[in-house]
Amino acid sequence: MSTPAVMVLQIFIIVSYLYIVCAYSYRLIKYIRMPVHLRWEIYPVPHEKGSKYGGSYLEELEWWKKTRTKNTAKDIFYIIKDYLFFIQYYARNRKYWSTLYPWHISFYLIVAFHVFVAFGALGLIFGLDVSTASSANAGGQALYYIALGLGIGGFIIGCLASIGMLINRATDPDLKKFANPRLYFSYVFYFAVFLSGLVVWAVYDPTFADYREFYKSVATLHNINLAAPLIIHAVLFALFLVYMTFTKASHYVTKFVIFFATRWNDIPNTRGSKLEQRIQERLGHAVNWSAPHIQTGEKWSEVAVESPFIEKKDKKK
Amino acid sequence: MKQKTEEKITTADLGKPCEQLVNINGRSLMALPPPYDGTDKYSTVAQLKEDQKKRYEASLDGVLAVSIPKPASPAEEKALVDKFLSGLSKLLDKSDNWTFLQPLKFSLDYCARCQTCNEACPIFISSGRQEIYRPTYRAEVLRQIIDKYLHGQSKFSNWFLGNNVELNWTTIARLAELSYRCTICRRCAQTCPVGIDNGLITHELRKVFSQELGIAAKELHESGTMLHLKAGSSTGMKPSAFLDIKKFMEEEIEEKIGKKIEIPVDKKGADILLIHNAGEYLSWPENPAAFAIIFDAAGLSWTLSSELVGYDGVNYGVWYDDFQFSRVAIKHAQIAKELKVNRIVVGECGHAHKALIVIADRVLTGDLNIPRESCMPLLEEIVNSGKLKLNPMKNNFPVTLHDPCNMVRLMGVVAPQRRILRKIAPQFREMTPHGVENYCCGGGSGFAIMQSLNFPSWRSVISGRMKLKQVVNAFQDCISPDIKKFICAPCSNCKGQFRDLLNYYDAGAKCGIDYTGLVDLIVNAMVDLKEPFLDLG
Repeated sequence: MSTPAVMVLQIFIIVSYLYIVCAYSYRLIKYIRMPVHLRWEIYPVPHEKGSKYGGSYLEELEWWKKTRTKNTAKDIFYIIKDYLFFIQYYARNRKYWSTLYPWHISFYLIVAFHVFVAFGALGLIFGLDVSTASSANAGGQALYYIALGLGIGGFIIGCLASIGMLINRATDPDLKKFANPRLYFSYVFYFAVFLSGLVVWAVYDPTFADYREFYKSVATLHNINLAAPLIIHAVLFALFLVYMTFTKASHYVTKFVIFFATRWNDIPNTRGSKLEQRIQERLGHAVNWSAPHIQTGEKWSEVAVESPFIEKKDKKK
Repeated sequence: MKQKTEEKITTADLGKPCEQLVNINGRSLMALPPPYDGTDKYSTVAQLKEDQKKRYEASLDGVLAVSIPKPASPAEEKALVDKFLSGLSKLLDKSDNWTFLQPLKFSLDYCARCQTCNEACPIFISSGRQEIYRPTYRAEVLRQIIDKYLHGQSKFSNWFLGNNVELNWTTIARLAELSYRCTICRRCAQTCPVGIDNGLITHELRKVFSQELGIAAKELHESGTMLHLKAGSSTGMKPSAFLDIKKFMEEEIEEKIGKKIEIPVDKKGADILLIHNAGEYLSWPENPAAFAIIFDAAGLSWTLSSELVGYDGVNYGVWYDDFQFSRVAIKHAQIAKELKVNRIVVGECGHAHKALIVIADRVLTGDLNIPRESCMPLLEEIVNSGKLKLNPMKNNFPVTLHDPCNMVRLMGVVAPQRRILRKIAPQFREMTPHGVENYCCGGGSGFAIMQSLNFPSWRSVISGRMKLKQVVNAFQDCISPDIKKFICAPCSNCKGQFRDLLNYYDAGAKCGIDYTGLVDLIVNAMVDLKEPFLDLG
């Protein structure tokens, strides 16, 4: 069994990981469950036949009589490409991309590093030798090398890119104008997270074997002796995950929704469709706006057909 | 407060009273190509008179679009602030604002403040990068007000999050004006890598003012949608006047093509209900006349409507008020239903396209959901069918194409009009950029019809500047005024803006540039016509 101090650390790690999953899921569900909205797409829309130049199905004569050919795979491909390479930033804001991209890559790497360390820990629990030793099988060696590469790469790139982002934000006149203390705090905090990982690797745990053991202890809630820098990094990383949910970083998850739900949402409303049902449900809600030309308290569908000139009733009486 | 230099203006300054937050300096505006280089003649926004400045809140940039009267008492100031806040909370409520809540919330919550969108904004760039015109500026002000005054953050949180805007009468009055310094062309939204839509934030801001406070640009509301719903058209045109113009068009057609065409009106059971903007009938009757010539030659079953609202396709509500928008859209659909037509075809107007075909798609349900389409694919079909005998050499002059934002970037109707032009205009050339990356004409979101005080001057000097630059660049190889050239603008509002823009810049005299619609060019290419349909003088 763990000592109380180690137990607190282990539970903190577990809770923080569970928290981020729940917080992101909550955000995602909250966005997905928002009411259907009016169409507000912007072209080009990748799934359209004319996406190369920005064309839509509305270019076809009597489009409603045609079978729609929608290639959702193109939407997904675009999103994946953007998540992986930040193509929009690359095309529109190359200078910013040059630090933003490595910064985000370092996030991918540090998260992936922890995932592979966790897999390695699971491997250890199930008797797998995760090392470079000749006794280790290919799976164990792969887990060892991938985690090592991700960790070293992530920590170094993260340190440099966090500094780069800080300098960018503090020196570029346009970026500086819209900076706030939270942004600066974020850069410094992220730098601390990456630096603590770099120190662990460079000074205390060059193969991340201790880190894997620590994760094993988290999974089994067994006691372990850890070097202070390793504890610091583990705590900082857990805090980093929690902190991310309070920042705009959730756009990692919600961006997916907004691209599909708004920017590329060109689904036509057809009679008797589910979409029509959802719209009708919304049209049944009462309106509370107070301008003189709107009858407060009436249903949306009623206000939308009434004359703006009729005398406004005082619903509160 | 002392006047700040434009580089130092921050979001906090919006609420700090001063004589004028920004002075537009003609010399810092975006440079124009020849023959407009090296002159300040076209770089001055007209000044307001002193009494106008005294009566209305003009301390943002010395320009008036909304013209909010100055408050008479502190109680009046407080009432405005309270109402604005109540409107904001409704804007974020899923019942009150289901129409745009999801994209709005996302745009408010997730801007990464990378400023990538700035370069996409023609107003920001044309103005010489005036801080207040930055697409992120008004969005950031709104974000801060919501955070600070609706979410009730602590003092520390407000400092930590940089919420430094003070909410007072000045902030709100300036914000109302500022919501009319963006054409909602949504180029910024197209550019945003994260998916933030600052154009939508402008739209929603206008909604708060209109739907809660009853404040909107007069030309959009009082003499716009209200007049549209009352008199039948935002131009004030009554059905009897419409029928008179129809007769006049028939006479004009007979004179031009030597053939009598009866323009069908209120023909029940026609295949197509064609809806034009009433502004076309008044300012450019040759455009609906050209449609009539083409549809007649193609043998289509079609009709116009003389019902109130039915002969005016505009829907200004799309720019500032969901209810006014819905009222007009539903009226259009009801008229089509009564006429028992199979489909509605929208004439050459970008916002009417977007409003009725796309946005109204989620307001029109049941039997009001009548198929609606753009006139562009139909025109292409007719041109390709061979039913019109066309001689492209009759259009043998330089032509460039303006892409109305609502029809192109926001609807994806890009190619048909180009394919038509390539067939009928041998000297057709594209602007740079074009298609979905086009620049707004500068008259978008209602600007083209807003004619009060010094707003038209600001529109020509600032919001239309980028388009003028594009047009002049497209014709650089033939810029001499001796060569007549045309901008093909298949949109009524854009044409209105081009009329004012070309006048302001003396572009006819200096460069020989004129504007026209697409159908006008098609008819001009018709072999049967003895005289040119266009004014080629």
